[in-house]
Amino acid sequence: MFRAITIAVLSVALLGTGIFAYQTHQEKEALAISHENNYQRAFHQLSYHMDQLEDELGASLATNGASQFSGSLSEVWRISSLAHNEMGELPLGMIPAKETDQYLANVAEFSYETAVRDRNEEPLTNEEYDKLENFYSQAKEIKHDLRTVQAQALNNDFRWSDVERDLMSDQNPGEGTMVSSFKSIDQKAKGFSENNWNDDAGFSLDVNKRLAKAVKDKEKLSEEEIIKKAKAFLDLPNSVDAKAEKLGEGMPYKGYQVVIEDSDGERNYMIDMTERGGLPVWALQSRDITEPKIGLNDASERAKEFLEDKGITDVQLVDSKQYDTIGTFQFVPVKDDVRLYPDALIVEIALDDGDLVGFKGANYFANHRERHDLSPALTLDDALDELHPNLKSREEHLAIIENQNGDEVLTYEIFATMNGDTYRIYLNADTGFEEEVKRMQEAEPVYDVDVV
Amino acid sequence: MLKSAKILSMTALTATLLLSIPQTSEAFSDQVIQKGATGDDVVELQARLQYIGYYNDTIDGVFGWGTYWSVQEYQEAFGMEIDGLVGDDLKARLDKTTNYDEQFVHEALENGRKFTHYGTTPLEIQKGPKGSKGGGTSSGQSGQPSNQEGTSGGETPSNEGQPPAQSGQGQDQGQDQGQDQGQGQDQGQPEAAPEQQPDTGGEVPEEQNNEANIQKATNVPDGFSENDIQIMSNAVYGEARGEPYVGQVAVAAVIINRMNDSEFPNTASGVIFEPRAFTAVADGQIYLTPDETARKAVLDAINGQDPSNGATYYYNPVTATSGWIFGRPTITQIGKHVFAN
Repeated sequence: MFRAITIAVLSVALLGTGIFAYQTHQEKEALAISHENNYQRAFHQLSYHMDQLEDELGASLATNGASQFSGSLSEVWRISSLAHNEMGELPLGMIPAKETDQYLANVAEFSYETAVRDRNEEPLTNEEYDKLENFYSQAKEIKHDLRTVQAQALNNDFRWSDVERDLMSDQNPGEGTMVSSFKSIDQKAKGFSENNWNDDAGFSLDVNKRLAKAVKDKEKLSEEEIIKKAKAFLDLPNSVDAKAEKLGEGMPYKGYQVVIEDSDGERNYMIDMTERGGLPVWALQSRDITEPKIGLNDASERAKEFLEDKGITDVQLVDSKQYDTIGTFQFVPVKDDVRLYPDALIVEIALDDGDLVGFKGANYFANHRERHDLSPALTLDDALDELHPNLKSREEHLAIIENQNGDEVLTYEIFATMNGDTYRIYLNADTGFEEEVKRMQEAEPVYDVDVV
Repeated sequence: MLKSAKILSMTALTATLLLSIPQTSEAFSDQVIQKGATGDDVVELQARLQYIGYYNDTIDGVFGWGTYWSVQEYQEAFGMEIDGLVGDDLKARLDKTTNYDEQFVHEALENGRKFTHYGTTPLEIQKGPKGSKGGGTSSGQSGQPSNQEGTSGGETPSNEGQPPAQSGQGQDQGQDQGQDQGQGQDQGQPEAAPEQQPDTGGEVPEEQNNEANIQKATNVPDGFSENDIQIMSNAVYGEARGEPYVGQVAVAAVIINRMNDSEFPNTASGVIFEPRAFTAVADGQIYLTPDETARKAVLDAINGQDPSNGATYYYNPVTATSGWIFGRPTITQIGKHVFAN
């Protein structure tokens, strides 16, 4: 009798466990499938969009009229952005798909630049047409390969989740797998992305490369001298402990990272210095900042004093923001009443004791130089005439900015209001061209979910 | 524009003021308030400017562009140096000419409650959902207070900059032509300052177009929303908690460097949730609640700090699983993370 009951109870328990296990398995399966489906969708859409990209690139080669042309080029732009996005949704993070990404980015950039400009006045150059042709033939090839991979995948019942697992466990996926196919596509795209125009500019967009150029001829300093300079820059006594370590070869210039511990142990500074010239690239202090005691205005004066103290004079405060206990300030050098935005410096001041907690000088040291063309061809009034009539100008300055092509241009910086919004407009001071129009962000309300 | 504006003397001010409000609430602290500031002083400034019709935006405690233009208009109207800085003389003048119910405004700020234009309207009325435009306020004086909602009585700019003795008249005119549109103008205003009350605004039956409200706000860096910052803080906390502060800034900077790199998605969430990009995303640690340090690190990075010196990759050499990453040219090591590009 007792035995019978035990058997009954145990078999019920066994059955229950079985049902539970089955359900869990089902759930896991469902999750895995929906996970896989997301990957599949991204992958198939990617190859669909590569198809479309080829079509549209072909169409834009064949069209002649300016307006029609614009249409297909903006299609190219849109599709390449979509494809770029879909690349980002695939678990390729661990295999280099970088060249394909780069190709898509180049196509997007090119089509955007040519689609938005007025081609009645500025028609496509022969060079640009060649480039377009090049993109087209590349798209053809990438598409072809991608279609092949897709067919393989469909036939072999391929799962992206498997790729993911292989990549995670760092097994080298062998020949003939999806990953190797993708790699070979990427190898081809590499050839495509290389013949690009970004490197022929001679003026690199990368601030580190510019900095490397700027310090090239400066005097090489020893580690001890660097540490000394770092302490002096942070207004610390020579007695505090400091360690310096060389920056890796990934940097275009040689430099040191200096870690400084204040003797009381509360403050801790880190600062990067260039080996040549000993220029402070950035510095951060980490410590707890207590209740703010000084105002933002006070802090901005201190920030300015700090810069002047370090020999960075003739700067103007262009932006200040308070983040609870820290004041963040952006300064730009001013020459002949022209604000030099590419040379901007950032200084952060703790609002409890007015001490420096952050500094960034990379842009200043990389870009600051004598500039010669500082007189505008247009008068301010001429420039203001170019403004949208609904805009009311409030503040005007002359400014050098870097435009979307990465060129430095002399502009009128105009702050204007319309319907309660503030806009910042950069009008080219020679041509009146709107280099940049930006609606200024207002403070953001606290979306507090607890509020009834 | 950033020169200090401590020029006008206090005595001249007091002498020219025709009337001052009898009840003076707590005035500002000592600081010169400038654009970008946050806190109680800014709340008070906005409330007081709104009281006399120079500020029609939300009272949010952040000195943004709207407040900046309002201050400039006020300075222009009273012949002060137009620099957008709120110094002693401006604060003194505001203190004299306006009313500030600190408790009421702060309560509203805490509760996030909408209420109507802050002005001389009795509070009982203001608490209602619809309502009254603050009375003796408005717009007669400057060209366009805050440029908002078409409320300004820009037609009477001739009174600008006149001594305050005349500004009362200016305001009356402003109201005649201004946003009250002639409604309910005959109701007196028990609490209002004499110079401001003549024919204004108590309760107006219809809802006005000036849904001014009070809501707390924070400074956010250009191009990022508070929610972006939150997502990034989550990622930084999940990836680098326990790392030195600078190391956390560097991780946040890598996210931003990736956004600016054509090889990667160009939004914060796109970069963070890219499959297999971050381990904290893969194992769910990103859903831990981040601490204040992570948030600060993200803000620092967004504001331009980059201890990684432009890196787009980083890894922990002890735990990294995939070998190819070691081949990338390293830039620097901070804490346990090696940064590379």
